Amino acid sequence: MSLDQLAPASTAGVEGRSPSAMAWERIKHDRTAWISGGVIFFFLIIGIIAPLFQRILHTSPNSFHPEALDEAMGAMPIGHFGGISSTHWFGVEPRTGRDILLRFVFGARTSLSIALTATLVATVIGVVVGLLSGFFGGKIDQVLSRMMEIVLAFPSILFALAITPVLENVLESSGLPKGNATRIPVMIMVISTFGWPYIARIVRGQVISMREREFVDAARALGATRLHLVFKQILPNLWAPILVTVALNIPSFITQEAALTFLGAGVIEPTSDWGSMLLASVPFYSVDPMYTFIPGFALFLLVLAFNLLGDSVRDALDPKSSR
Amino acid sequence: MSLSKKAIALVGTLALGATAFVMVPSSQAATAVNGPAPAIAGAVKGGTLTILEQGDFEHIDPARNYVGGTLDFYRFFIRTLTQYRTYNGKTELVPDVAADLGTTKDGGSTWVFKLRTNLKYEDGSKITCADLKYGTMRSYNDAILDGGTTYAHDFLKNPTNFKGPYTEPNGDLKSVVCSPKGDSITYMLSQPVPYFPYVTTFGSFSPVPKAKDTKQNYDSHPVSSGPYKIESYNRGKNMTLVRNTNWDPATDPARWNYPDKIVVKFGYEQNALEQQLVSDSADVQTAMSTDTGVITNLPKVLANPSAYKSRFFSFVSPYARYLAINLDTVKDVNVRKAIQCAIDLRTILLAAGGTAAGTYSNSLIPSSIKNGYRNFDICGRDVHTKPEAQIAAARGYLKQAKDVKKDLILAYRDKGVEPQRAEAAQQALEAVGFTVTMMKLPRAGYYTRIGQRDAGVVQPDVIQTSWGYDWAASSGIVYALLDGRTMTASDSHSNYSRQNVPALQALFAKADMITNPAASDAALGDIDQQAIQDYAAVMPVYFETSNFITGSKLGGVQVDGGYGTISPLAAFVKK
Repeated sequence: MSLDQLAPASTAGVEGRSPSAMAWERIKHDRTAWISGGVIFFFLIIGIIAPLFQRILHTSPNSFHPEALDEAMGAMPIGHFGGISSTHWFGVEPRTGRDILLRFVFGARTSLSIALTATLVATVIGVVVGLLSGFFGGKIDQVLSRMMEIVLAFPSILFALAITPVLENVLESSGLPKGNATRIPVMIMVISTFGWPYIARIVRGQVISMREREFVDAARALGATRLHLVFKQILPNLWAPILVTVALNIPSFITQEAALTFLGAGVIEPTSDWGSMLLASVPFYSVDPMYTFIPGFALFLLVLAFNLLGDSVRDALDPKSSR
Repeated sequence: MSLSKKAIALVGTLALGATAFVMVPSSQAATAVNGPAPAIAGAVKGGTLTILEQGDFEHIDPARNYVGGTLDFYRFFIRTLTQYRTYNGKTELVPDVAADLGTTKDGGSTWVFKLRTNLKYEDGSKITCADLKYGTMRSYNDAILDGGTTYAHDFLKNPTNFKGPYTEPNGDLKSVVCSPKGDSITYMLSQPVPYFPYVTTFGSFSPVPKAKDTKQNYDSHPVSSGPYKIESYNRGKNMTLVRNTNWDPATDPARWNYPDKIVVKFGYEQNALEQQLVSDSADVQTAMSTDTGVITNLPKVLANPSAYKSRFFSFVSPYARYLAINLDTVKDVNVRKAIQCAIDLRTILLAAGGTAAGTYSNSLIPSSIKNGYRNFDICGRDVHTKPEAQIAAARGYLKQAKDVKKDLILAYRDKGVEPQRAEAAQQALEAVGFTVTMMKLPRAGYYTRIGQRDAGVVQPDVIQTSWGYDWAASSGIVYALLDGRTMTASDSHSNYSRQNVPALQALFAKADMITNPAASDAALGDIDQQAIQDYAAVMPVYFETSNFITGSKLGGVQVDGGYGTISPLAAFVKK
């Protein structure tokens, strides 16, 4: 039996696959991943096409609709389930008559864009800090690690509530316009400030285990600069843990964003946002439960979907760490 | 007369006298001079009355209290020269520490009150005329005793510029004089004040024993002269009142004493408390609240009125909610008229809770002040049915305007439904072509900020505000809200419109001369109408309706006409 005869058979039987291809293969067969991915996609799409709803419903998220309210009955929506009707598919807000569907889809826009931007910022900071800290070690690592620990030790929501007005004042006095134009960047700053150490720590650990590996030594021997080693040799091998952390960070950032708004340090009315919808609905929960249910359920569904998808991605990339 | 800044800072917390207001008490028949107060039908003695509040009382020191609900409540242990009594839905002024409603021989500049001589404090010591005078004198130390009304300073003569007994221990307020026997007291005023016996219902006309005056600390335990005394008071947590055995009902026409004990608890949350009271849960059946009305749970009550009938109280309060239009910044009257026309009263009232939460108004004077109220029309429109006509009218005025100003700043307070109301106003203004910048201001210091006129401070053009009058007469409203003389270069005081039109000021000068209360109401009513209709200085929106619910085992709860609040004064616990 010659080698020539064996070769074709072996390539047909054991196909050479990259780790990413293997992960993709596993994801493809994971129903949870598909469903949760679908839910996320759905919310992203409605956020993107929000203005289309405005056209279909012939109103804007901030317009009042006195005609949909019962003036004598405490200005509650006319009709059942919070005023659900052919003109207002999800009903209207008590007292103002603003269309809940429109506030919901525009709220998806605000909530998701803040959470996703914060994730991006936190990831970039976290990855850079983690790489530097892990690769250089020594004093740099000590300083950066202590920083991470300090940030992690803060009660983040409380601190965010305290720092938001201060930051806002600083930004406003430096010329930014009042209102959401300042508030939203502040929220992104605050959320990402408390989010980056999680990523940085994971990246740092991975880098430490990788920096003495042969391919790094080889590159070093060839005279590569340190920056080249960090960003060109090590970073490309880290995308799996980064992806997993990001996937699990997004839902926590979404809840943080909603929590901040709910507690009054978030998006300013009349801009709609799921957190502010929840906040506004709380006093009415016993008389108009639909109003609380809609943003509450959406938030629950989206966070659950992100979490499940995050789990699936982790399982796919690292099957050994199964639940 | 101009109200001082202190009074104004508390606007919105105080409201007086909605019903049965009769002026010139000097001629009033002494129907209810002596005690005891008439019995409440079905009332029984005993039990514990519980009062649940969101926040602690701001002040219970009589010299410092200026909050409607607390002015009503603290009568359980504070007596004043005169007082309101509400019984069977009728409110009248009765002598309290005084034995009559005062007499004047010079048109209201000098007032003489006879005094009851058999009254005692909680420790059994006698209440004297000197104590009554001292109670007024200590209110002059308002740097230490902040809060409270300023009427004593505003009205009493003060030739020696007395600054209060803490500053001047040997000083004297020469305009308050006790008779040698101590059975009458005389007040000398710097101007005629025909309604002075109403002013003396405030705490700066209450007896305070000099030996027991603990200055700032008096706020935590004022010496009781009423039917109950303070057993314990933990600020922010709770207060317990027990019977004051030295109080004699026969000397008091204004107070009842049914429960054995009154427990006040602080720190409740609006929505949770509201729900507990509406559902009448077991622990609140003998409870009520004086600061927590039914707001978001109102639809439940309205949907089933018969179930709540015996314990639901709905009444028009004297709070006028209105938008002041700044004459300093919106100079063209046609622009101001366009603002008036643009405002959609319906969306604003809906944002506040609909017709159960308020009644539309066209004037700053409520219709209950019969001689002052004028049923005129603003912008000639029917607010309910013709929003298009309203928009067209507003645009018409904008076309006529010479000094066009389309960018407006709308100031509002971040409290309750006020942001939603401001948003409703914003939408209505933008519908006719204005661009509205929202100026959201914190609750604390709101009234000070919107009154600022200093150059360099951003001036709002439209100001969402409210006013609860201190006595039910045009003079309690129009002078404070529209008189240009209240303003200084840096502070509009409560004249938030910065009204100082010469033609209107000429009318004010004439109105000053009128001493007849009915004629004064009418003259000031004309000013109100002209300021709104011709000069578009304000846009009235609605008079608020208060809705309260009590536990099912309480009886005798009343709507107090004197303070426009729900009152526990005559409450009893059902057996």
